[in-house]
Amino acid sequence: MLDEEIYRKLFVEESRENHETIVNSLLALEHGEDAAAIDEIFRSAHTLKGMSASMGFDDMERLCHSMEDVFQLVRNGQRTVTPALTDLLLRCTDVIEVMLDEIEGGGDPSSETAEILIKSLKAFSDKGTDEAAFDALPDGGGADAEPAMIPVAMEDPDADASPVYTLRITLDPACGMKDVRALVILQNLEELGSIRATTPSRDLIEDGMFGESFSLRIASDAGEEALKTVASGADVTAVEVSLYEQEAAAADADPRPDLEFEDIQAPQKPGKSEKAREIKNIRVDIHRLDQMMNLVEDLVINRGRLEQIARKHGIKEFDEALSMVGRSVSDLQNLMMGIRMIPLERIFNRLPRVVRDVANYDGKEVEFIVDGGDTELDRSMMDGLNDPLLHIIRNAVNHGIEPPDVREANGKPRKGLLKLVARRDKDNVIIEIEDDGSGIDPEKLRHSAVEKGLMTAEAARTAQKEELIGLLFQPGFSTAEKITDISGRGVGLDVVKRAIESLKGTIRVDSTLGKGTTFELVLPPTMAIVDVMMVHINDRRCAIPVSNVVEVATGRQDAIHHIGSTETILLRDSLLPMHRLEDMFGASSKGSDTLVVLQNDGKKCCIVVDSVEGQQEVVVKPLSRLVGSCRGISGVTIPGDGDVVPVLDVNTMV
Amino acid sequence: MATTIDVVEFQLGKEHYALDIQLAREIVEMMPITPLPRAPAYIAGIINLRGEITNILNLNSLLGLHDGETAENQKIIVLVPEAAGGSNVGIIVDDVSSVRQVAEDEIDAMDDAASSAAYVKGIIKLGAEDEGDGRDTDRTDLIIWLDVQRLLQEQVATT
Repeated sequence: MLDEEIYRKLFVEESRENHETIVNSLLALEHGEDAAAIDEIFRSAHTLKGMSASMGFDDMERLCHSMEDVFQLVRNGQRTVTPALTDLLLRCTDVIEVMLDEIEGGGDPSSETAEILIKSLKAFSDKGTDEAAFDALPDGGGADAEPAMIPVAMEDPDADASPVYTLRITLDPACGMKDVRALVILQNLEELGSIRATTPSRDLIEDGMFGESFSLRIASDAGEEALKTVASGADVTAVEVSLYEQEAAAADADPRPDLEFEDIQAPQKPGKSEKAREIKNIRVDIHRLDQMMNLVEDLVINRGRLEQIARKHGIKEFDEALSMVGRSVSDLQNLMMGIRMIPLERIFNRLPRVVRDVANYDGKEVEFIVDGGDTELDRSMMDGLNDPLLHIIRNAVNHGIEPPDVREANGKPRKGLLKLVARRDKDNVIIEIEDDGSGIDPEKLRHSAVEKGLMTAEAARTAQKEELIGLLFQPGFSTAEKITDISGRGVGLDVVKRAIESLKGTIRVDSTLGKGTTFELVLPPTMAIVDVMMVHINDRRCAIPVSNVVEVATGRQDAIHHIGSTETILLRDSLLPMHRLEDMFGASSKGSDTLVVLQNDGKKCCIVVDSVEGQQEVVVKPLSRLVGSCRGISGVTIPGDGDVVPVLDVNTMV
Repeated sequence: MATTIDVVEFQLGKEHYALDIQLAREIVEMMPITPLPRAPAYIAGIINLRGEITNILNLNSLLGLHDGETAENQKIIVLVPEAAGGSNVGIIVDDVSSVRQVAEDEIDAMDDAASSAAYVKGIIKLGAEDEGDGRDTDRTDLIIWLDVQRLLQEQVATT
């Protein structure tokens, strides 16, 4: 696996550990000189420095470097640890934590505060006095300085010319729900104008994390009095309104330094958010999750078994208890599924890079748009989806989108458009890869098909476009004129198709010559638990996924026609191929007229079954590697009665 | 006294076979086996062994023997998962006779190519202590000590 995202995660995780070590050791130092603690800090700061350097977070690296310098002096006994120094160092760790938060959120931290702190640290290591350390700190560094404003809105402060006021609102200390109060006040004020900034940050205000008062900056035409009226209300003891100078507002337009400032001034805030983080997320080994999933699957199976026993005996109390258990099991199952779902972003995120590389290699210009990365899919499907997706994307850039000159000549914008869209549709996840390139030329396919012996010249001439496009998924079929090392080795789409099919998904291609090509992947969000219809075929049981079943019908013998060697049946005016699946389930002993109409990928067919048993939710277990792949069988399942039943794979059945 | 080896002795057709006891997890009575459509011939089918799907192999076809008449006492020897690369596997045998302790000097090692192809680890010639239970004394009883692990590795998991 790539990629930066994961490194970033690892980096954040490890850095947090190092950061915690430093903080704890610093606190230990406060209780007295401790060589081990100093060593510990030194080591952690050093690691942090190295890691942030290799990740390219320069500010963080320099800050850690300065910290390391100070510790070096302390370690050598040239400086002693004073409360002031500990304060300064703790403030550094706070900044580091804020930076880590930012990195985790995907940003690149830069901080002016870091600069200031670096200077203080430098001063300390140069002069060796506490006062020196704080000389360099501006007023903002003082312990009781007013926290700076935190802009809340991203809009340009100069966007509207309304006068800006600063409001300082003090709530009654006895007030019960100050978060709600504050929220109401903020909302009321918003009706009068746009709130530019709040102190502390709006999130904190809405969580009630402020003292007795908070301030905000608002741009409004309503005037001082109106603002004051709106702001005051129950539990508000004082409202101070003053006009805020525009110049100052403009100077504050860059939120970054302020944000940093607020954070170092409020050491209690990182502490709190850290606690929340620890409770919110735990890391679980994926194997344990799989084990849990297995247990849940067993539960589902055994619930089915219990239900069957219950039906036999018909004890009312038992039924009631069982339905309670059943509900819990369903909830557990859904929860478990949810936990295993991860957003598609995980594999989408590496694709822009691939597009860029391939486009650069081919001298093409491509705009890549990704949408719906938050669509979730079972973890187990992610790995299987990665390669096919990569392949289709590469193909699209490599073969689909034309070189810029050709595009211009054809009256298209120089830059090709490649869209990757994922969405949830009922029970399926649909992923579309759409390019506005040259499209697939049916004539070329026709030619290629005959040349490669996949079709007779006769058949090729009459073949429909859909049929020809289907050829793309045949092994060894590639129409690329030149073979590159990026795609087009002739082992392409057939592998993609097989990979998608192994995920129980389908792939469809739609292409218009000169306009572009769309690949559509339809995938079930999870493979583990499916609704199936239990049928008997030639005295053997078989499960068919309900999503493939259209209807159960009765076929009259005289409606069966033989077209060539295939049997077909006329059912409600549509002619369906009929399969007896004798090679799968043994020869039929008695004629049956029950038909199950199946559909797959828009194509319908029907199979003859002895009888239909009913519908059931089952856990499909994949076939063991020992068996290899059996065409037509996607797995096996154990329904409630403890029997083992193969699950029909309509995709590859015939 | 030479070291001894514990083996499970079973019958397949008219021959007696043995496999290392460490490979056997349990022996279960014959139960209905669900055939798997379009599976390779050596897969007899699958069973549900206490909630675990277990693949049942046809040892006859793996060893290239003909299926004889179905014996009355057929049993399934379920192997430990390690024997088949982590999969749950059982083999059908005609009968399981006993667990036997075999001294090393009772085993004729076979290292020619023919035995290697037949997955034979050695031939156990029954010693004098077996004379008591009514067997011939001229050592006609041979037990074929199968290398089941290698058999599975080479015949099955290679797909």
